[in-house]
Amino acid sequence: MTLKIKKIHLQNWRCYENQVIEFDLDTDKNIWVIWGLNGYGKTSILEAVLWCLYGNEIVLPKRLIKAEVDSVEQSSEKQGYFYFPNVKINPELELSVSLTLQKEDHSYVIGRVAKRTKRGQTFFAEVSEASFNLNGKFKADSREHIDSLLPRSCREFFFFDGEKIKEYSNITQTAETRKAIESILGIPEIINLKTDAKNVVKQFEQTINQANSSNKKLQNINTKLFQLTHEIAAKRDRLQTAIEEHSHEIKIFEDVRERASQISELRDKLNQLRKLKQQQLELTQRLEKAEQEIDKVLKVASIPMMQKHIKEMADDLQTKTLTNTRMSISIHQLRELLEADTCICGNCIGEKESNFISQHLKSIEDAGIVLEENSRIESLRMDLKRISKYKIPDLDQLLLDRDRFVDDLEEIKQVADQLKKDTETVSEKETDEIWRKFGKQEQAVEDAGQTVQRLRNEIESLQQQQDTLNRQRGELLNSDREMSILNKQSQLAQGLYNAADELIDWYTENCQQTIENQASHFHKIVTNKPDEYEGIVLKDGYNLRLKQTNGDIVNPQSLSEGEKQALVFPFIAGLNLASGKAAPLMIDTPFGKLDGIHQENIVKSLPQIPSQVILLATDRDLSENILNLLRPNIVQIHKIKRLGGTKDGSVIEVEQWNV
Amino acid sequence: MEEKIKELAKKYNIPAFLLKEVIQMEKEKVVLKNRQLVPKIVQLIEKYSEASN
Repeated sequence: MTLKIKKIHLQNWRCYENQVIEFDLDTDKNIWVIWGLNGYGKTSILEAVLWCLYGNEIVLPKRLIKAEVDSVEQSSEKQGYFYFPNVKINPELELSVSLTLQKEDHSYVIGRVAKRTKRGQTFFAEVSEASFNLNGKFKADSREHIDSLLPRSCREFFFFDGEKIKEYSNITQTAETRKAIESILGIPEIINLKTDAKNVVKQFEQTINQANSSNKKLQNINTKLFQLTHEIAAKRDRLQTAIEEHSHEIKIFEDVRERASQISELRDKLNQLRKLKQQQLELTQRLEKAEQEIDKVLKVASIPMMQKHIKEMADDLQTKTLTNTRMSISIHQLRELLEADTCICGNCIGEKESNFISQHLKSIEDAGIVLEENSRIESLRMDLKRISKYKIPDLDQLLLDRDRFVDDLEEIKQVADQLKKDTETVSEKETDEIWRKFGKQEQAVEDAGQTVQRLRNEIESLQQQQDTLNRQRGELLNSDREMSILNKQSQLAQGLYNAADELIDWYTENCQQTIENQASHFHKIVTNKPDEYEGIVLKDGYNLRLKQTNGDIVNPQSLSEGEKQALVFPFIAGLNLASGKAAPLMIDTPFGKLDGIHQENIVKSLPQIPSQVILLATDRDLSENILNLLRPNIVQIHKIKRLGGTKDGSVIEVEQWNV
Repeated sequence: MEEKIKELAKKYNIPAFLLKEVIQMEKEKVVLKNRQLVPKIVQLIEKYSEASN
């Protein structure tokens, strides 16, 4: 049951002198394009459609004519919405916009007229009420009829500017829009059904009461039933209030829980900060130690350079020690020779030589030169040997370690600074307070829920009493034929009322569920982050929220402009599908500021939207690539051309092309 | 919706077409402030109760 625009007729509207735009509806495709460069009159078409439907709410009469400045003299200046070349010929010109819509075999024609009227020296625009024709028959109450087709509060969902669509992500929060959404979904007629059925029940009750005024037993039952009905109605009112209170408490509880979750997150950050401080301390100690090591190595930096020389010196000294030792052995042998009693060689030393050797030996021994020198050299040699064995520390590794410690410390400092910044708003006091509130609110939700359940049980019990009394009354009434018929009618009326009552809850819930499912389906196609979002959910009525795959609910206010736009498209599609009476979508600058991926995704989703889609686009909106993607689903392309010259206007022609 | 109407009609012991017909009447008159549907619903109920006798 799709409502489609079949024809738009513009007369003397802005740059159009007399323009008919016809949409070929004999197709199973759903996209039409009105193509024109900037300033050619695309937005004028959207504005004309909106003005025709909603009148002064879209363009005030003084804007139509610019009455405040439009004196006779100024009338020769181009201004306002009237087609100017004709204003010059006929200052009291009339403009009109007419829309022909079609839904199944119903044809709707909506028209609106405005006329330039001279009062004194000034021109004013006289705007008529819209006319409404259904299948050729004029209908009074045009506003109500237009509202039933395309509710004004939801007009942004049917006719919109792609660059402004992001603003609509919060529009569902107004009471007026909620009402209009319910109207699109067909909820008011079921509410009306319940109200009317209630009155029908009352009417039958009165008839029965009048007919049985003489039957005392029946009167007693009727009195009890009357009391019960009132008691049930009062309990239902209380139940409604309790349900609202329960929802309110749940909302507060969710807010507190969210804050508690934030605090919990901040607590985790505080713990992380504490751990980082400990790491910082340890790293600082290791850095100090590394720097000390480096200092130490630098102090003995000359040793490695002298090591070869020292080794040579040690070797020299060892040679000298050996020489001295040999000398010492020679002295010892000479002494033994001198002290020997017998001689085994043929040339024994004479007294003169013996005295000479003894004298020198004595002088050497007395001086202790050889032994002393040997001891000194040996000590020095040992020192040099120790130095030559000195193990050269790995300075490069020490420097690398030190640099690594410095880097790690810097990194920790940055993370710690960020954590400090994040956690500066949280105090222990607030943490305690939030958790106290959390507990309190949890209890409040439970209490409110129990009240709701108690009232439901009480109503159920009263209804059982009511059923019993109704049976008793039925038995009494059935004893008389006329009364029996009346009783049956009354029971039918009561059944109708009960069915309507249950139908409202089921239908509302069902519609919301359908919107959520369908909108989520389209959102998966449109979003550039399908893995991050699970889908769209409706909160407290029809407030749009995004559900992430981790279960978190995101308010659209926190989304980017592109993401908001990518959210509203699916909602509109979901709403159209849930209503079962899809409205046409007319979109100016369809892709707004969306990036290429979003554009392509939306183009892919458009054929699946169960609506007639009319895109008002320039070459910037429909690049060759996008147009090629769309082509298989385009029915017609209407091209706006400028007339130029004295005509100063635009005309629209259907582009001939083969798919 | 069709299924739900049948289910409710059975539950509350009313003819499904009565419920459907009244819903249709409400749909047609929803735009009007003064629907005046109570007498018409009464007539419908009388008609159905007679038919079932």
